[in-house]
Amino acid sequence: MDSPSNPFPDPDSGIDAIARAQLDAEASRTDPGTLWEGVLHRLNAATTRPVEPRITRHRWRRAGTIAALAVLAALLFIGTFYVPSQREALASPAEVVQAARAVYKQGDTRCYRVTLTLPARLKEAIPLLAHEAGPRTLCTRGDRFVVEPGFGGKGAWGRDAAGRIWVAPTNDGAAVYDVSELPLPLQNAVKIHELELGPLLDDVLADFDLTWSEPPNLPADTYTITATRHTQAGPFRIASAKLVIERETKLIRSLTVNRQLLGESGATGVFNLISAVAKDDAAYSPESHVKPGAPVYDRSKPMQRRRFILQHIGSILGNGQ
Amino acid sequence: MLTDEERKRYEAWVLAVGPRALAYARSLIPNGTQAEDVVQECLYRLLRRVAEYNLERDGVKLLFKAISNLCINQATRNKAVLSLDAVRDEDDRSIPVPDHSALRPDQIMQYRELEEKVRQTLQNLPPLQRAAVELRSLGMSKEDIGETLGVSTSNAGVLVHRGRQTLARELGSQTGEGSDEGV
Repeated sequence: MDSPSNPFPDPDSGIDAIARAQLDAEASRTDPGTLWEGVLHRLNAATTRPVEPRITRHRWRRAGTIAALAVLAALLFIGTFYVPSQREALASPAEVVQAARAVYKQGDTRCYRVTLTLPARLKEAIPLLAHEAGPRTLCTRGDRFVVEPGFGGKGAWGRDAAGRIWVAPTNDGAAVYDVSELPLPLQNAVKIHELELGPLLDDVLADFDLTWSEPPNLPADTYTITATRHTQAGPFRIASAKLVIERETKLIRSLTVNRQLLGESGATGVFNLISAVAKDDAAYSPESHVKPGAPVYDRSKPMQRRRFILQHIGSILGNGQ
Repeated sequence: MLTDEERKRYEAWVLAVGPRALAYARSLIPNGTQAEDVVQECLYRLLRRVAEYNLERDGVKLLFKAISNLCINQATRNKAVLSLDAVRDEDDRSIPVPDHSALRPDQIMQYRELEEKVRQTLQNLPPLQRAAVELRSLGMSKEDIGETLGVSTSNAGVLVHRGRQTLARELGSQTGEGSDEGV
């Protein structure tokens, strides 16, 4: 481990080489680019702070230190006698969620890593998602979203600016559906994936009990809040959620959503923020996920659309289309 | 915001070190998303304090130490869930160890079955043994492994030895050969 140029020298042959080959095979399946994006986002958020005015001359620094100590002593005195408790100075969970809601209005695209957990019996009911293996990336702005990779690990799918749902399992073509003609399996997949943060936060503020999941005075750079719906959640509605919100930026870094589905079974979706970026509407359209000139089948070509979907994801769509 | 120079330097380092750090974390926590969160958290903390150490010289050691701390704690907490086979016979009986010296990494990788078997066998090792064997395979010395895992140097040697023994025993029938040289 001594050479800076090669942090991982080749092992000796034998067991070490076998273990190393296994690690290297696993390493080749990772995505360090996404890892770096996440780290960079957090580093940038942490280093974006207002610049404090600096006193550069030595004598002013000394005078400043004395003045600061005097002010500190005065504050301690006042605090001791006049401030009832430190807890009152802390924001409430609702205030933190309101701040996150206000930041969200600024309107950049948020990209999240999504991991979905479905109970076994739900996998049969939602075949499109039963075949999902591993996390996906969901980028969303308003009600637009795009999920990559798509169903069965192929291509992408999403909702465009017009509210249409599209599926592009390959860059050779895509299928587009108006909301009124959406097949049931796709409807269910949308309900589970959609992450309209604005309405979601409004709902959380209006219909949920909010509590700290972790004490807010811990020396962490995030707040963690648990939201539990006051009343019984309807099908596909959020029953509870856990929000991790950055203290400085009020960005939602992570969101765990438990949706009520069949009876007592629910789906849990974990959305971890990767980045907040600017994306124009084209990024949410099927055309930007297929080759130039590739067909995009809509309601005007129902037979071709049906054939296309069955050809590419028919095996996992089951009888839904 | 980071300067361009800082960003490029950190990015190059993360891209070089990240894949094996992720692979290491995933071997300790089967939940891939949790493992990625751990690695991202460790990288973030490490890079925020980059002024306090030499990134290129000491960064890998510090990163793997942080990952080990988080992952092994988690793996220990979740032991019953992660692997019912995690508790294994660790007595020091003399076991005939096959000789693997004729195998090279490029040969090994030709055999998918062997890869799966190695993965399973590593997964079944107790977390500390697994970590020790993997850190050794990444070129760490006995001293570095001890420091990374928070155990003594001699204990690190024992962990590597036992991990290798188990691997050799389990994989002996697949490879037909093996050796168990000291750390």
